[in-house]
Amino acid sequence: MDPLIRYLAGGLSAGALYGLMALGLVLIYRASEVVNFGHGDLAMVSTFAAYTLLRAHAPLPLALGGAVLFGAALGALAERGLLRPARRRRATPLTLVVLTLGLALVLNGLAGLLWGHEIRTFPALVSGPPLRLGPAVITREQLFNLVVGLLLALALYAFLRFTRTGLALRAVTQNPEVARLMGIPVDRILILAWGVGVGLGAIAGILAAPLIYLEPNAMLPLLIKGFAAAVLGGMTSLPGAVIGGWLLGILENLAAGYIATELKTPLAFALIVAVLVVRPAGLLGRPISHRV
Amino acid sequence: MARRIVWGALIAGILGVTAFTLPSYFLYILSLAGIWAIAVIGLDLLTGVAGQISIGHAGFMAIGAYAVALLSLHLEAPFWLALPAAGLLNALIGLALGLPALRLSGPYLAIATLGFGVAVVEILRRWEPVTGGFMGLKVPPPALGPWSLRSDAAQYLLIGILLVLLAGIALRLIRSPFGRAWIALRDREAAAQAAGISRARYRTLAFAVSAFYAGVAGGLLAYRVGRVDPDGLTLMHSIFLVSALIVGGLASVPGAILGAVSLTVLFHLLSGLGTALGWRTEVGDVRNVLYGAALILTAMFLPGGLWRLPMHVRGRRWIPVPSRAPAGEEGGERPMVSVPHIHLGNSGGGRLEVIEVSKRFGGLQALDRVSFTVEPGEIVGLIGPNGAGKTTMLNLISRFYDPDAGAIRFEGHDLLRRRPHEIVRLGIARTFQNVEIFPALTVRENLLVGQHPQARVGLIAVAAGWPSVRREESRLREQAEEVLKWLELSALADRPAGGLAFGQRKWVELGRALVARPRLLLLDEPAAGLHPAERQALRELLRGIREALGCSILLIEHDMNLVMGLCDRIVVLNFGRVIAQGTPAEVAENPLVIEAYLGERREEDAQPTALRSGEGRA
Repeated sequence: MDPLIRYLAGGLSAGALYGLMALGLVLIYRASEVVNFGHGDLAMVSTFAAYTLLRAHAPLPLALGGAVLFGAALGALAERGLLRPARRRRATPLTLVVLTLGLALVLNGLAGLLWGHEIRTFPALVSGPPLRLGPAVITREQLFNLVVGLLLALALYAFLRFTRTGLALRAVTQNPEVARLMGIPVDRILILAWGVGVGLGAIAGILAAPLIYLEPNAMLPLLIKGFAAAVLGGMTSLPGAVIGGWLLGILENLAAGYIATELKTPLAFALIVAVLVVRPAGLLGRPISHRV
Repeated sequence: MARRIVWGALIAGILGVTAFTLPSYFLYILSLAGIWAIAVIGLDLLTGVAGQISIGHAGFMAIGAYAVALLSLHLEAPFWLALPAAGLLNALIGLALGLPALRLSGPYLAIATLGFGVAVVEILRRWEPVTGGFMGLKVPPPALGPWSLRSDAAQYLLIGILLVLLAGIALRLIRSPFGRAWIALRDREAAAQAAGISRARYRTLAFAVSAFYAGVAGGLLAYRVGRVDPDGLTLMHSIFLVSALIVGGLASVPGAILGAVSLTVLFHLLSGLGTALGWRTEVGDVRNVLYGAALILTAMFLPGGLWRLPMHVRGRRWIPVPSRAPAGEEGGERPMVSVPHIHLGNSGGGRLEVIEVSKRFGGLQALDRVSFTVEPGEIVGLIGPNGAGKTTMLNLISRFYDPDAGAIRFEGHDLLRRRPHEIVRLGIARTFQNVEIFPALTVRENLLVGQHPQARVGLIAVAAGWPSVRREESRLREQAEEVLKWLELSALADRPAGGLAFGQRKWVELGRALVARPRLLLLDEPAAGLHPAERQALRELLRGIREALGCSILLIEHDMNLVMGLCDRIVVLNFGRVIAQGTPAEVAENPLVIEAYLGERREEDAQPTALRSGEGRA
């Protein structure tokens, strides 16, 4: 098979996970104006939860569903127990960001204490021979990740577009003060955004886990790439996050295939800087300037 | 000067005595604490002072460490060359990285630096021929001529001296025009720009200086540990730096040192405990939990950090919060401003031309082909109902917005080709509707920010403490002093501006505009929120300003008494259009104006005042 097609398929599949990570980051950022640096560690802890449930012989759907819900609950708790009280104390935007860093540190340490640092293999979620789609050969796992990523993005879109709660969430992301005056329970919506956002991150982590080894720092590359995808998409745009994820996935697979595998993480960083230089608003975002 | 010698002797004494009395292990831990303190001070300049966060400073430390390692291994560079080189290399990288990320500020710098730190580790791991890959490199101990500084005491002294030096430089920077510019941008970006401070320039500069500190700290760490490897300075360490900064106290050099020392000591106590309990990786994990918890708890409950704990205990806020003074104080303290004896010099008035300017916000036509002029020395009132587009007009002149069409000229300069921080250099200063003073700075410092374009000092000169810097500073202070006296603010000069009463804050803001020696002053509702006595004083003051400085004034105001009594000409806006302009008398007669603005019934007192001021014009 043409290596180019293989790189594209691999890129789209990996990019779907970056897109999921970015979706969660953008959703949280737009709702609460906080860049969540705890996102990677929240995803990591959720993935460990899935791992533990699977090791305890829980059925696969229960293990994965339980872990995602666990992640969502942690996200909601982070907003309710950490950020909301800080906002009540008139914390600056800088303080809010710093709090997510503290959260990342605490979660990382706790995961080390609970699960140790030896690297663990996460069982593959789908298996079987690769599929042939026209000229392309794609592994079932790649196809699965791609489809899950796409379906979740569509589900999020439908939720925001067609439900009352989704409308309320969009209102909060536009203007929280006015939303509050219109009777929207802004506090609850923020909790929801954090829950959904971290839930998406948890799914990304669980899908990525079989491809990498699981240990407390395993999700760092995923976090960086999630951020790169989000910045590429414009930091405020949900479709931008998904497209940014795919673009990043394809670019890094091409770079890894034609130049060197080691380039993957530095590439994500280079891409962030390149976007800031060339097109700060990203692909689909609006420029933002007064937030920290 | 004498104080400086006393301090120097005291610190040298403490360093010398401790170096030869403390056990080696203590010296080792204190050395590490000192190294981290240098990095945290650097981060503080960026985060605490300039208000931008970096989550990749360990990456800069790593670059510094490898630079020192490579320079000593391959070129046998002595430490006094290798350390500054490591710092400068970082400063350059900081400029390159900071410019794109800081131009936008906001979350981008945090994200970009996060990626930077992780990318650095990855590159160090993979670039094996140069960096030695996972194994890293051995670093020879620093040497001073024939003497090797291998011993714990020698390294302790070296690190101690550098810490004192770099802490002193940081303090000088904070108290210089650079520090004031950083704080001004941090707290009130628009007002800082209107005062002539370039956002991109100063934020990037803060980032470069901060990266320099991290580079020197990384280099010292390489010497102290004797080797470098890619996993010694990772994202975790970047977050530790943030933790130490928050725990110690933002925007305070002693706070940064306190934070770094307390966390380092905590970690070594923990290591001791871990050894006793037979821990292995758990030490690192417990450290992460503790540092993270310390970060969260201080950020939440002690926002000023440990350093300001005494102030917290006494029930004071560390950054003065804006508060209204007791009711009695406001008016009584404001004497009438009489004859202005001021040596700022009459710099004359400039001519402003606004030609066919239009501005649309989404579906709202905020300004529609607006044209008017302000002639040299003229006081022009810009009036109109709320939402007429008055403040939008001011923001276009200040260049915070771009018009969709039209031209704005001042003394022949095309303002549309200038950026917000360049406007004041052309001679246009302004105040804001919401009174944008810098709350963390004193009244005097607020005025000094207003003199920013006149301050001629270089970064190196400030860092080195050259006498020219002090001369320049006292020159600026003298000028500020005049305006302080004029506005009767001398008694408040060293009070934090955030703690002043509302009326006083307006005076401070006006003072900040005046010290810029404007030839055009833009005032956005100067009388709003003032009570009658203050309004009277304001009127006298504005007259005095024109008399003393000769400058033109464009004034947005709802107080018709003030407008009619003061202005030579009035421009009336309604729904983004100029519906009338002329002398106060003409405008007051204009039926369109009466209908749109003054209401159906003519204001009784408008007429006579208008006439009086019309006479005064000639």
